Amino acid sequence: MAWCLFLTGCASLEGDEYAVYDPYESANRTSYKVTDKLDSAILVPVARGYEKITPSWFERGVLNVFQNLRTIASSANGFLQGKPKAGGIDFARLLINSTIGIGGFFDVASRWDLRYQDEDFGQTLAVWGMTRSRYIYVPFFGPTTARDLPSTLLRSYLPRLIFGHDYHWGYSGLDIVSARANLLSASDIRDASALDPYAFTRDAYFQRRKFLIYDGNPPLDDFFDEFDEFDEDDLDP
Amino acid sequence: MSACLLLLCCATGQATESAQPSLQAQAQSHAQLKVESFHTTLLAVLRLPQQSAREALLQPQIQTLFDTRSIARISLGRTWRTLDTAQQQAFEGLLAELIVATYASRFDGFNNQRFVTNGVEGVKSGFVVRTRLLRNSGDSVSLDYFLRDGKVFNVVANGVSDLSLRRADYNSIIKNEGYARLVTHIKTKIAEARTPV
Repeated sequence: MAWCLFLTGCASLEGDEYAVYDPYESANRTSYKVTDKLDSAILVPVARGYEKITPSWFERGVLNVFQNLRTIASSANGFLQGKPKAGGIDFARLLINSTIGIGGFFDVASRWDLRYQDEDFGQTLAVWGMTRSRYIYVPFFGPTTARDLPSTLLRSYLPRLIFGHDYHWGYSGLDIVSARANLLSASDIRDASALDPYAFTRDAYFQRRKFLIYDGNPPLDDFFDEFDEFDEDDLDP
Repeated sequence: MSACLLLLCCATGQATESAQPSLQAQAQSHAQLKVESFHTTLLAVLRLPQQSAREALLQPQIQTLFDTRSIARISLGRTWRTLDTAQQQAFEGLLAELIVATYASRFDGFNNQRFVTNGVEGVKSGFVVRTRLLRNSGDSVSLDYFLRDGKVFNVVANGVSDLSLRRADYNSIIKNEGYARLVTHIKTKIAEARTPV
């Protein structure tokens, strides 16, 4: 009930759709600092070691296995968003990769042009109208919004929900290390470019979510509006 | 070579529709050619071992392709108008140096990367050249170049706008530490990009 009220609050937020909205910035920055320190001290060295000792084909295969498990949620959200084709593609991927692809290790479906649709419940809520949402940096989980929080949490626990007690915690560890290794190049770019890594991560998160909500085709005019906005500003007295 | 073939194909296609290609189509072809020329330079940069050599090759290309004045202006937001002409020029120069140093440090190892152009779209008062960087691992990154008045003012990688990130990043520093510290931070980033790992 409380959660419904919380989400209803998201729906009624005023302002530009998908614009950065960070009313809890102070708390979020603290959470970012703590998480970033732990990430740099523990997870990054482990992920670099994993990347170094693992052949790239195996690394890709492990990523594929965990992505294959999450295809269930992606397929369901495709249907929930009223996109039966996207939901159907993911469902077909799940069947093909789980069988011919040996438990999802080999992404056979992509070779047949059945690409992963990458849908989640946060995107579904956005399609249903919750376009603007409060930014939350969850300790140990990373950037999300009130709208995306359920899918952020579910993403980690979904395999355990599917397999129950048969899903060993070691698999969760491998899932985390594998996902972090896959993000190393992105975080390296952030570290090399960002003057304020918190603001950089937040802006990148909002942009990336908008890109996914629009299935990779956000309105191009929005990028030009950014330019025009400042042209108009310059005309102000 | 592929760019020339592509342009030839575009020109042939247009000729069947109209004897005189429109100015719009010419501008689109020109935008595509510029971006493809930049990609050719990036592939050459990847094969150079030294940062200084990579920067020397990139610098003239970035100077002609990128609208560094607009990037500087939009990145600084309202602070831009508080600077005098000399300060604006100095900031624009610093930003151009940062862009060159950053590209040179990121494109530092050839591993069979390839660029493909997926097309050009006319939007509002400019163009978007849609491209993709293909990596040897099988991964790819979509790279969309936004041009206005024939120059690039924004590059969007997998949906994330470089200009928007820069603006958020710089304005956060200005708000919390001031413009002078922003300049110091940028100089530090340039030095870091030039430091061998």
